[in-house]
Amino acid sequence: MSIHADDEFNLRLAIDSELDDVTPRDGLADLVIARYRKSRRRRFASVFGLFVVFAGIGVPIGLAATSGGSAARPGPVALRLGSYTLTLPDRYHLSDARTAPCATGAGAAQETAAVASGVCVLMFLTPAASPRQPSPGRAGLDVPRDAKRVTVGHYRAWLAPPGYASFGDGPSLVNTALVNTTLVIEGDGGDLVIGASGLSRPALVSLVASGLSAA
Amino acid sequence: MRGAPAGREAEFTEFVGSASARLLRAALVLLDSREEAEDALQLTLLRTFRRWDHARQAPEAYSRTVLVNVCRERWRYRARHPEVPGAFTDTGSLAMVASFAEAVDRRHVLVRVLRRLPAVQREVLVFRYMLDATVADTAAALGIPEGTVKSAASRGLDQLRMLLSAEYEDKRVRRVHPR
Repeated sequence: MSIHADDEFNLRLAIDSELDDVTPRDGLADLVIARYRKSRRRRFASVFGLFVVFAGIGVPIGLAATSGGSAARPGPVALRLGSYTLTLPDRYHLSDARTAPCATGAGAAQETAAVASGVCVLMFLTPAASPRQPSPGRAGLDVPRDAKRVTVGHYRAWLAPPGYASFGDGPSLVNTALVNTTLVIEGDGGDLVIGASGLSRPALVSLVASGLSAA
Repeated sequence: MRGAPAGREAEFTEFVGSASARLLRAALVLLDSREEAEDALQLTLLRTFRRWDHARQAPEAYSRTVLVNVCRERWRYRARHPEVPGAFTDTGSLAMVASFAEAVDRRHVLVRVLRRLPAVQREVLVFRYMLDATVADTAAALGIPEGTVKSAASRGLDQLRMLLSAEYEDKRVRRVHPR
């Protein structure tokens, strides 16, 4: 058809005439529906994949929380050593005493630890003083000159000076680079040492005063 | 209420049969090539089918709006990603493709002239005269006031007439003085 540039020009008719051979391919609707199904399958697979990933992360955490694993769990945490029990608030959780940040990892079996966000508490028993090194009046550690004597609940205790690590004969159990407060509870057969990083002296004394009990 | 999948697909297939040719021709005017137009049509129909429960109320109007959005996305993409020269190195095939495109272009004089119009005028003419949309529908689909639709249609037709006159004058000269 010829197209003339006059005022009677009918654009619709001219376009229809010019493009009458332009037709979509056969089976276009089926093609679109197949493409839609494919994209829906892909979307479903993505959602399912995300679900599997989140389930893979969430289920172990949930199991650990309910089965008393190392993850955080509600309720107070008890550090038990010998006849002593130190009950800590529920934001703490038990930790391996050899790998706890406030421990050196050189310890014997008589130690236990708990950690919370930014805080680590290490507790161990010192052996009774050997007969070769008798200490007058009692069997525990010698009190350093610049230690501060305190009373914690029913117990007599002393706060070790910063950097002090001579608790017993063996290698130091306390990581003095991190531990800024150490409290020694005097006992008859040996002393209980409680070292903490991330806690001030008054905070540690208060924690022990409210949480320590002996059988 | 949602129809059963088979009924939904049957309705959609019927709609594609009745509307796809017009949508393809509109896409051909709005875009630069048959391939692009066919891609745009498929994407338009796919998006329409995805929202068929909503689109089935007025599938023509819905698909028209989707089509113009798809075409605008292509324009924006082309503006951001200009073609890399030299990517097609087979010069023999390139010449063949070019000559074929030229042959098609020569035949589709009106389409070629329409493509030279400004975007708004081209969209308005396509909506009004190819997709049979009312002024109100066109304004709603393109997101412009009705007054703009009317003025763009009027200016577009004027410019189209002018460009077609120039085109035919050029052809007449070429026939009398072939190169």
